[in-house]
Amino acid sequence: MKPVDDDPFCETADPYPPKQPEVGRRDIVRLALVSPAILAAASACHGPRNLVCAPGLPDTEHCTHVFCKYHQD
Amino acid sequence: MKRILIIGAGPAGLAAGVKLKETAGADVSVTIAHMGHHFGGKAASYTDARGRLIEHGWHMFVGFYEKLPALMKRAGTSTSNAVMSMSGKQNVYEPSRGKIYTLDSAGGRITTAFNFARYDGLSFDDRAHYARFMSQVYARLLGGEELTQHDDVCFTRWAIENGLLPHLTRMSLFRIFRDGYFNFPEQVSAYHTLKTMQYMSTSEGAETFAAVAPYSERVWDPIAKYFESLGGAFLPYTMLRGFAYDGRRVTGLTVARPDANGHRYGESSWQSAAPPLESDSETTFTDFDAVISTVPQAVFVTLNKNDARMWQSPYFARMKNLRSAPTVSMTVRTKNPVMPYVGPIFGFPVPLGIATTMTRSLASYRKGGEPGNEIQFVGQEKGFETWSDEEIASFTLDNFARIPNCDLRAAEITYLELHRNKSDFERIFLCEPGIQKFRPGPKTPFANFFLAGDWVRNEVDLICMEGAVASGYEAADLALAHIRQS
Repeated sequence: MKPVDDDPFCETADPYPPKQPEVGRRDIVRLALVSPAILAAASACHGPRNLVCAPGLPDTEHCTHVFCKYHQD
Repeated sequence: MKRILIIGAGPAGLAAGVKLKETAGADVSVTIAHMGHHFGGKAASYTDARGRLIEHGWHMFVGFYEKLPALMKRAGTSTSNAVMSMSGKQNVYEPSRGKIYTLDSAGGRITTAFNFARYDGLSFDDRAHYARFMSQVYARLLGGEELTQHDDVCFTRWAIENGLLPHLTRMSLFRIFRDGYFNFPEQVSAYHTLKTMQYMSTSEGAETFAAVAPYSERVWDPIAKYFESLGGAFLPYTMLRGFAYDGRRVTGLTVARPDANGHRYGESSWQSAAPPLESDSETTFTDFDAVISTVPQAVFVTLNKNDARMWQSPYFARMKNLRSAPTVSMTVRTKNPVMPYVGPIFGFPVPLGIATTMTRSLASYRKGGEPGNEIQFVGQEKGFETWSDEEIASFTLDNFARIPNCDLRAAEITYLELHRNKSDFERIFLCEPGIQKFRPGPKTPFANFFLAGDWVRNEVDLICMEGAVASGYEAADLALAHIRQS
């Protein structure tokens, strides 16, 4: 059996391991913009929404935004 | 002597070969194995035995290119022979007005922003708004903003989120940002658009040039000869099919010889994903210490296709998220003068959404007589796969004829050549939103196997010839470091 380090397909052999997504300025701005809408929707509105999912709050069931990055992920 | 094998003789493969021989000289043996139809890969352009101009699509040479012109100079050829200036002119067809408007992008960021204010295809309010938006974008680029954070969204959304009025993104003027990447009808990553704008934000960087056909004979052939003069060798009619490995070393390359019929570019046999292979021509190379693969992404993901463990591993699985598309290119020559615009025209209906006048190219093959014009169209086939060549050509000529002074049929067409560049090795890499996390760099999990090509992340990082050359250089450095270390 080959040693683990010799396996080209194990995670440690990946020369470009994926990084954890960083929360950038634009994410913070978007979060600030959509947060009131999310709060409003969560507290009162139970109908279909047209919101961008906030980071950390993917809502694939209700999010209908065409270009939502969190939705796509 | 250590041996390095390069797969592919496009810009990345040729650049890698030259860099290796220039750096290591006689200490390393370098062979470039390639398909053999012509040098230049997806940037090939040559005249075939029947005198037809064979194009993989119109190519633009941009002022910020440094590595490719320097490579050409070392190879004894110059840009003045290979490209013609378009004077920074971008022509935009606005269908709603049925007219072409000209945007001058020469002069750097301040001038360009100002020129958006002068673009008379928009109302005064829209022009002022657009100019302000462009100024703000250039200010952010100048401030050194980290651009990769914008990769996950398309440029259209990015522009709207950053203040551009949504209706302006539907104008042809905005489509320049998207169509310049041939990504239409898809969206393009905001990172790639912004990075292009950053490169083109100086007066010199914004200068644009059209590559004069036949481009292979003016650019890639001299570089190939230079590579040979340095002691490099070519192995033509060799197509990569897969590779064998032992642990973290590639130990063998499976190659085959394409059928001669598959090399009649433009004939039906090239319309398949992969060209037909000569029977019993498959063989395995083991005579190398390191390998640089410059095959396009669409080809690479077909290698070792039955190796499920490999394609499920993190590094290789990411690659399958990348996409490419077939381009369509059409060359039309006329007997009489037509289309007086200098520089490319953007904004036509797809599939052939960009047209460029190539009068200098025309002059290079026609001696004497009244010059007409040569127009090169380029675009993407997506959505038009079921259309016949005649339907695409006719549709394009009909649309073109609606523009004043652009009726090509009335100018008497003497030559029309349409190509669908749909084979795996001809497909253009799509820089869609979110691709950065899937693009590999030059290293692979195998210690002696490296990648190059414009689809591989590199110093320039744009999907263009300059990016391919930069990628070839980086892979060459890594391969050389590897064999010296081992």
